[in-house]
Amino acid sequence: MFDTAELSAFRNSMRSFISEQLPDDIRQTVREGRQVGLERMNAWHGILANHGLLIPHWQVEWGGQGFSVAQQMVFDEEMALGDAPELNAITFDMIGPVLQRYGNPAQQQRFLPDIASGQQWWCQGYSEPNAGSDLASLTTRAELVGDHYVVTGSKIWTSGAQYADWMFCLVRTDREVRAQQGISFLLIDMKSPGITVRPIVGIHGWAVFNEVFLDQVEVPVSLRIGAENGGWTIAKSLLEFERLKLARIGENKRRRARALAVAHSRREAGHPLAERPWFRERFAELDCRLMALEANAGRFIERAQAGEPIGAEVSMLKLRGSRLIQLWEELIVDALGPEAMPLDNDWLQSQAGAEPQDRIAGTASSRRFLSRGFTIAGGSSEIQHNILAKQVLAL
Amino acid sequence: MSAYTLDAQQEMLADSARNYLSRRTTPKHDATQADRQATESSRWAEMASLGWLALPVPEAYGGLSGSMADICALAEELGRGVVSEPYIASAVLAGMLLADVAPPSVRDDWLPALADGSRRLALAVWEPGARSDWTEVNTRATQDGADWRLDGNKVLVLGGTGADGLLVSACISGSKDLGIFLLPAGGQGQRLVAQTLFDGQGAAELTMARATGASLLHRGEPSAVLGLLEVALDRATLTHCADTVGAMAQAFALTREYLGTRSQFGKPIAANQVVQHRLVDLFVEIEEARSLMRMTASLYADTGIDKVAPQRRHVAATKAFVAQVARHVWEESVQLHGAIGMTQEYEVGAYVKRLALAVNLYGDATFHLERVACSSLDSSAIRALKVEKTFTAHHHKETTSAPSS
Repeated sequence: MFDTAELSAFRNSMRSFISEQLPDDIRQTVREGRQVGLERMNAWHGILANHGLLIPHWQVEWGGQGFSVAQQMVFDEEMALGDAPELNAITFDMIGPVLQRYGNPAQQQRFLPDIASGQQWWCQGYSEPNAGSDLASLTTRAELVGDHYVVTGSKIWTSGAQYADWMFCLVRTDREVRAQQGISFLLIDMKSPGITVRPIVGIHGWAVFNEVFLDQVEVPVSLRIGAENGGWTIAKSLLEFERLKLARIGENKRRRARALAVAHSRREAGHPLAERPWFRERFAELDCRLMALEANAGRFIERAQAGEPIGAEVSMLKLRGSRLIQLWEELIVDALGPEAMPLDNDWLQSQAGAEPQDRIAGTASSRRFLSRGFTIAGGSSEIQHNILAKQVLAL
Repeated sequence: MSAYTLDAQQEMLADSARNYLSRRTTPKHDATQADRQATESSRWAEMASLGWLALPVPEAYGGLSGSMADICALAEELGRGVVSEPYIASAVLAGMLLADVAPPSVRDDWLPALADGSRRLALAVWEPGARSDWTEVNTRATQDGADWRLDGNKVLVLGGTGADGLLVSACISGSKDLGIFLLPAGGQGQRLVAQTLFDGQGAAELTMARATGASLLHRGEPSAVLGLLEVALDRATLTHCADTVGAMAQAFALTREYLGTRSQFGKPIAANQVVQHRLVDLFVEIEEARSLMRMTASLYADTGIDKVAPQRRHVAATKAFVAQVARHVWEESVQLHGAIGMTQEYEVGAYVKRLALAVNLYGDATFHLERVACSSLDSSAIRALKVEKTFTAHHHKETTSAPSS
């Protein structure tokens, strides 16, 4: 990013905060690309919360620091470059801001302090077996009975549902109207009777997402956000939250750093990979794409800072940033060659007693598979193309 | 200061350029050499009166001391308007190099003349058979009393035809030094053969056999002189990227308009999702290219001591990126138009050719990717070693292949 002197001072202070406060074992685990685990994540959340840096982008009255958009971007980037684990966007970037914008005072009081403490986890009940990119066709039903809804149906691809305390969920409350108009937004306690979570193991080796079955789950009406049948507006606004973050510049730089480590630690034909022409060309090409992504994100940051709407055009950041992550992961796998082939699931998941693996090669293939999700989740690349075609190019 | 949005003055400059260029007839890319030269000289005077030629010239010499961001704002419009006059080659590449390296008397003589359009300058830096590698210099300069004699061949002298003077890079006989010479056009021992590049712009091949009349503007160790040339070429490369962004934007606009208008199978071609997604890809890549180009231009506002390395890295990345996007844009412009996109008379053809040339001009993607790789992957020790090799190469030529005089 194009740092002003002020921003560069801010960057330095964030950098030293992370290097001083991030526990070494977490840093090491993240550098290797393994799972940090709930317990250590909660500990890190606690440290961030104590320094006011867990939710710096929230409204000040709920514990935010009034960070500017540029400061948020810099902070995210420094977290990634400092090998801090990626924070759960569903909890801190999605439901937190939704509650601040659409929640009533009772709902805000009940949830925001817990989320801000960093000890409560949320998951997002959006996709269903027959409603993926076409989210509005969802069929999970909520029937109003007295002062509560009875919810029945199933959600799928629900990341983190296996350990989440709460789920925000889109349910159908009216089947007679147009698809988008009959949807409500409910907050569901994951300990409620009638909820079953079935983890789904991904091709990368562990369960990142789940299927969530809801069988006559009772949800108090007081846990509906916004009006009945008014859930689609909230769901859509949520897709717009933090869209600048979806450029994932920090996550790209994290992977660039790994590729660089491979370049200087591996050899071929008697030379470090860093000197091999094929590697140089591919690395430099991704570097150029990253610089272009960063410059392009800078344009939107400038717009946001000036208080102008960033518009649907910002979809291009998601489109390009998510693809670029995959290209870095592919370069790393290719650069490692046979080294990236063995895969030890116990070590990946930081299980006790697992045989230690190479710090870069041990996770490379798993990460490569996992990275396919970036172009699918949060509006697939095809959906981003549609958004740009319709809303920006008016095709 | 905004890196990405034009300021009020740049907006005015761009608007007036767009206005002027939209009124002027599109140059025929099949025009003859003579036709082109005739229209060029009258247009050169117009470009001077619009202040464009003064933009890169320092105020002290009758110029406007424009920033790189100002120059790039104008260049985007030159690309959009398919201007074939050698603005970048004369005003940005050669003119700014002269301002960097020439002694005061030469600057006094040349810079006001460049600013008011009464003279044109060109840089002869590339040699035959070396792709875009301008660091390979086989041209020799031999001192002959107060005069210098030049021997060698230069290719792709952009704007060379019609230039009043040529800046020439040459090895200095009897030393390891490199020099930058000013060779007045038309002197004894030089042969300038005019060429028309496939996009319609003019260039020349320069053959020097005991060419006389050259004056030495600057001499020094190869690494130092190559460094000066690199700075000059980087400015031109970046300006050319801005030109290319303007041309890509217009090629895209024409393609989009055509696909929205032409109907096949009972609906506009642009109603097909497969076509829409391909247009989106072009749009996104062009937007990224523009952002990167403007970001890089804004780096030139920094006058700090360590500015050169980030500028070099960013210009290389910008050109590598723009070259790849330009190729994608021109090939898709033809494909999405269909057969009409292959005709000489249809408007998009002028852009297709300009972009196809832009892919390789001032070094293609591979050339600049290697420069990015140097900055990303090489330690300073390795970088020093590579410069050392350049030294050795020059020294080697000096000792083994010095021409007999």
